[in-house]
Parts: sequence; structure tokens; C-alpha cells
Amino acid sequence: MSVESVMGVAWSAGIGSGVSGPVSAEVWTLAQEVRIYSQSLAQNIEAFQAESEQVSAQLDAMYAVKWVSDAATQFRDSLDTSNEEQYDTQRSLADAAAKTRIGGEALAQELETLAANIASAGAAVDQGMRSLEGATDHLPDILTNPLVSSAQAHLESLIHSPLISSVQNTLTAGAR
Amino acid sequence: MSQNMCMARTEVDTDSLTEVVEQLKTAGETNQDLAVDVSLIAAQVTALLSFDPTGEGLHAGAILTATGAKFFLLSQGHKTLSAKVETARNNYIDAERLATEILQGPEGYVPGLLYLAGKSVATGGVLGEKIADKVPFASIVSPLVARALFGMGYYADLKMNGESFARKRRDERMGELGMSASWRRDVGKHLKEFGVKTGVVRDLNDSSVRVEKLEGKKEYEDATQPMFAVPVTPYQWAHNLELVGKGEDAMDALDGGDGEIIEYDGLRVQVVRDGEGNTIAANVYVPGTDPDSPAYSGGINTWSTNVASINADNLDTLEESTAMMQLVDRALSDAGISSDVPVNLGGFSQGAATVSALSTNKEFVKKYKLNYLYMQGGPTGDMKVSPNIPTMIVADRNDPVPHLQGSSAYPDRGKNVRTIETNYDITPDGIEKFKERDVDHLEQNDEHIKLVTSMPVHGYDEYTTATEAIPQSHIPEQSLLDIRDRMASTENYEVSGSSFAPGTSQQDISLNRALGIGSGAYDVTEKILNNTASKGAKLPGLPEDYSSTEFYDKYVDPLGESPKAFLYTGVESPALAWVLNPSAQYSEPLQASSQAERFSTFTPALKPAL
Repeated sequence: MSVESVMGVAWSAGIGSGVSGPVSAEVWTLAQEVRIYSQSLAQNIEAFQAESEQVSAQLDAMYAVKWVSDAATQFRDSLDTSNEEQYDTQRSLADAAAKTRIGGEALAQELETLAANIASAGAAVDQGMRSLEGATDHLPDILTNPLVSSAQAHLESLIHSPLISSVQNTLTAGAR
Repeated sequence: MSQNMCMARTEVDTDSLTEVVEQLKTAGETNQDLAVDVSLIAAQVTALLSFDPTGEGLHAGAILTATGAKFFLLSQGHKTLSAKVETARNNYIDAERLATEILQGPEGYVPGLLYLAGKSVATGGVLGEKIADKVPFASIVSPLVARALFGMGYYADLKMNGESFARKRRDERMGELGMSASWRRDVGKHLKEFGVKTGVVRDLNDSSVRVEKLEGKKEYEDATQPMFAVPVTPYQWAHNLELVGKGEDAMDALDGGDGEIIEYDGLRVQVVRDGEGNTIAANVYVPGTDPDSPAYSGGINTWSTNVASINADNLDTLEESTAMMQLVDRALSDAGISSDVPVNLGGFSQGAATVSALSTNKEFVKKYKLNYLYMQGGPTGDMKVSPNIPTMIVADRNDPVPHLQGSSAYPDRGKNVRTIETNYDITPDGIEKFKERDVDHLEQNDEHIKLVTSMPVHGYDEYTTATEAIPQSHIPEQSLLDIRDRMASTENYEVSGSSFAPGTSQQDISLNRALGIGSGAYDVTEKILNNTASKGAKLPGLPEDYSSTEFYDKYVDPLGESPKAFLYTGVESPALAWVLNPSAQYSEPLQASSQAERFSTFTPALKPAL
């Protein structure tokens, strides 16, 4: 049995690039979805900021009401305090939108890196199997070879990263 | 004038306040929606970006969570603020309605300076504007003065715990008229002097005083409950004052008998005796303003004497006080009340001001042993009151009169003073009367009136009802209880007086009126002419550097040909024309020396013409 045949069987069994290819592609797609979703969240946050700005404009207009007295002064003082808080929400929302964009992009890049690492880890498993060509064609021997088994273990640890499942769950529950 | 009034809607625009109320409600709702939306998105961001390696995503989630909470607090704040503005708006509408209602009542009599000051005050604000919309010019001026000057705006702001915009505007406008800051500070004193100068405030005429012993049934014929012999609670004082006030009104109808044309105002004295016939106390009841008493009638408790009454506190002598205070002294003196007999004073409205003023009159407190003071519905907030005599002040929460002056909190008063705020509106009588009045308003007035939730209260009977309804009012005054325990009998005396002597002719009264108005008009003219602010002001028909003579010829002299210019005082006497134009023929010669003396004190501008 040639190494190529052995590797074909191994791929079918979820070893090496047989599994890393589809998973890497899926994580890459996940990264793109995170990028789009976080952009969408940031836009929503900016829309809330615009709503708050409209409230501020209304409050600003109230200063001009024709009313002079100590009571009116108290009213305008309350309006001042309130409007300052209202402006605070706009600054906070603008900050939050920017941070959401930065965080979303960073997460997307993290996932893209993970996708690349998964692909590399799969290729490393394949490379290990190829390096045994001529030494053995017996599949169990190949799989228990420390060179291959450690590379496969690394691949599996990447594939089962909690980051992937967490993001998948969030997207399923959220914007998908 | 109406154009001016319509131009200056500067102080309180209740329509705009209505818009603010709605906008604040909308802002509150928007913020409430945002609170929900932002909290939801905070959860989404936190969940998605919890693995963000930079930590920015988690930070964003925390910011959003806090911002959601802030939106919620803002929504609550805007709703609360909206409710406050709505209350303020309703108070202003209330005050406007109240002012309008009073202005549509009996004509007041307020002469020259009050007119100028009040008109200036009123034209600056929405009160004046709205009032002008509702009442014709001819009837607006004089009542508007007293109310706008002392009143309705002040009332509205007091309800909002603020200082009076009316009072502030009064100061501004009087400054424009050339009244210095110190003059404005003492405006009450000056107005009192002005009342004296114009002849509407005069001393008691000793020969006019009438004393009549009342025998039971004459107290007040419609009374179902006689006067309490010694009132010991606010309710009992209010009841006695009601009987005295209504008795005074009834006696008013008897004035004018035997060809008498002068006006009398009166008070009531109860002399309390023990079993051995010794006098152990005297109770004096001073009623409120006699609304039917015209300004130049000799009446001593009229609309026109109000300003003098509230500015007669803390004086050294009775001679410089008001005619009503002099009448109290005369009544006690005639009743033989010596300096060791406890004297209890009770007063309503202007009568409360008289009581307050008496309690700080140095001559009066030396002459009599004041024991207890009861004041209800009085504009006494700025007046001094005795620092040691037990004093009860009762004011209904919907009575505008106690708010016409000073703060209802009476900040400078000592522990000897107790205040009770009654609420007539929630008594069964008040609820019933409110329903009746509210229906009238719905039928007669514009949509704002429908928002009114309380009605002005300022009646004898309303105070009797209101004091009876509150438990505090039933606490008896110990010193009065002691007197009551020793009492064996009482005698009631009706004491009345006038500022004119009996038999004064219509001509003399007319002359006093004309001389007073002339004096007042010239006083105002002088002040305007001496006003540096108005010098150089462009007046129609005059050069910028006009002289006193030019001003007189253009603006003052023509008044003599047109008594209508003094319509606000109700003057229609040809004597006015004589005063302003003495070279013209006048059928009645000067007779009363006191009036001649008054004439001689006229301003220099007039003297050469004499």
C-alpha cells in the first residue's frame, strides 16, 4: 500500500488536511461574518447616537421658551444638567461604536489567523505522513508515529478552539 | 396701548410651555426606548466580542451597558421635568385667570403713579397682554395697576417658590421712570406718601367717630350662631370676624341717611367683664376692605387705603399711622380700656394688616397691654409683627391676598408667631362652590380655563368654613381660655369713622379729589422730568433737549381740557379743569383751609400758575 493510498484513507478518517481544509474554510467564513456583524452592530450604535442627538436638539430648542423667573432659571438649570448627560450618551455611543469596530476587526483577524493555522496544522500532518514513505505502509503504524500523532494532536486542538464554538453560538443567537 | 401689550409677550408664554411639556414627554419616551435598545446591543456586543484579543470589544460592551442605564435615568428625569413644567404652566394659567377674574370685578381706585408703574409693569408681560385681550382699555387701567404691581405674577411665582417676576419688572420699569434704587426699595413708603398727597389716604376725622352699643340681635341679622363672647380658637375668631364683616356691609347700606354723603368704615369692640363688673379684656375686630367705598369718599378701609395699611408698621406714633389704626385707638379709649387690661386684636385682609401694624406701633403698644393677635387672609408678609405677643396667622392656600406681599413663609418671625395654612377647596362647601364656579368658567372662558384646578378664596365665610375643617384650628389659646373662665358678661360696640367731618359737602369732596389728583399728577410729572434716563429720550412732538415748559405745554396742560385723561380714577369733576387751569372760571371758591394748605404744597411747576 502506497503512502498516497494510506493518506487517502487517513483523510477519509478525519486525519490531516482531510479535516483541516473544510474547517479552515469554515472558520475563514466565520471571520467574514464576524466582520460584517460587528460592522452592523457599530452602525446600529451610531443610529442610537443619532437618535440621542435629536433629543439634544429638542432640549436645546427648549432654552428659547419665553419664560423669565427663578422657576424658569431652575428649569434651564435642570435642562443644562440633563442635556450634558444626553451629550455624554452620544460621546459614549460614538466610543462604543469605534471600539466595536476595532474589536470586531480584531476578532475577525484572529479567526482568519486561526483558519490559516488550522490549514497549516493539517499540512503538517500530511507532511509527517509523507516523510514516512518507504518506512512503513501500515496505517496504524503511521498514525502512531510520534511525528504524525503530535501534528494531528495540534491540529485537533486548533479545530476545537472554544473561540470557534463561542462565535458560532453568538452568531446563531444574534444576527445570522 | 393694545399694540404695545401685544408686542411684548416676553415673560411667560404658556403656549410655548405646553409645547415644552410635550417635547419633554417625547424626549423621555425616546430615551426609554434607547435604554432598552442600547441594553440589548450591549449584551450582543459583549457576547460576540468577549474573545476579541484587544479587549476593545469588552470595553465597548461595558460602555453600552452603562449608557443604557443612563438613558433610563434620563427618561425618568425628562418625565419628571415635564411634570414640573406642566405644573408651572398650570400655575401661570391659574394666575392669569385669577388676574382676569379680579380685573373684571369692581373698579378699583388707584391714582397716578400706581397707574404709570403698573402699566409699565403690565405691558412687559404676558399677563398684561392676555388681560388686555379680555377687558376693554377703559376698565383695565386702574385695577390692573394694583394687581400687576403687587400681584398676580408674584402669586404665580410664589407658587413655584421663586421670586416675583412682576416685582422684578416693577423695579426695572420704575428705574426707567427715573426712580432710584433706594426709592424703589422704599416703594411702599413712597406709595403711602403718594396716597396721602393725592388725598385718598387721610387721617381720621375725630368729629366723625360714632359709637353704638349693640344689643344681641343687631350683631348681624342673618347670623345663625351669635358671636363668641371670648373666641379662643382660629375658627371662633374667623366666625366673629365674619359676623363683624357682614355687619359692616349691612351698615354700609345705612350710610347716606339724613343727607350724609361721606363714607364711614367701622370695627367692633367686645368689652369683657368679670362677675364684679371689672373690665378684664377687650377684643377688637377689624374687618377687610370695604369694596363699595370709593376712593375720595372719606372711607378709611377702602381699596385706596390698602397700600397705606401695609406700610404702616413699625411707626413711632399713632398720628403718623392710618385712620383705621387711629379708630382702633379711639374705640379702646372711648371704651375706657386702661393700660393694664389685656387687649386681643383680630383682623381680616386689610384688617389683618392693621392688626400687624398696631402690634409694632410704639405709641399703641405703650398705651395698651396687647395680649393676643389673630390675622387671617392678610397681605402682611413684608410687615413687621410684634416679636413677643402670641400671634396666629391663618392663610388659605388658594387665597391670593396673603401672597400679595412678601413670602408666605414669614422668614423673620419669632416663636410667638404660629401660621396655619387652610384649604377651603377640600371642605364640602368648597367642593360644592368649586363645581359651580368651574361650570361658569367652562361656559364663559377660553380653553385655558378648563385647566384650572383651584379657585381663589378670600371671603369671611370661606375662612370660617376652612378653619372649622382643620384640627389645628381647634387648639385653644391658653391666655384667652383664662379670660373666658373669668368672664361673666360682654358688651359689643360698633365704632365707625370717616376721614371727613359729618356734613362735608359734595363740593368739598370734589375739590379734595381734584386737588389730590392734580397734586399727584404733578408729582409724577416732576419725577419724570427729573429722570435722567428720560432726559434726552425722544418724545413725539418734542425736541430731544426739551425743557420742562415744553414738556408741560405738550403733555400736561392739555390734560386740563380733557378730564378723560384721568378716567382711571373715575374723575369727572370740573374742579380738575380748574386745578389745571386756574385762570378759567370755577363756580366754587376754595373753602377748607386744610385743602388750601394741601394745595400750597404743590410742586413748583404749578405754583407760578396760582
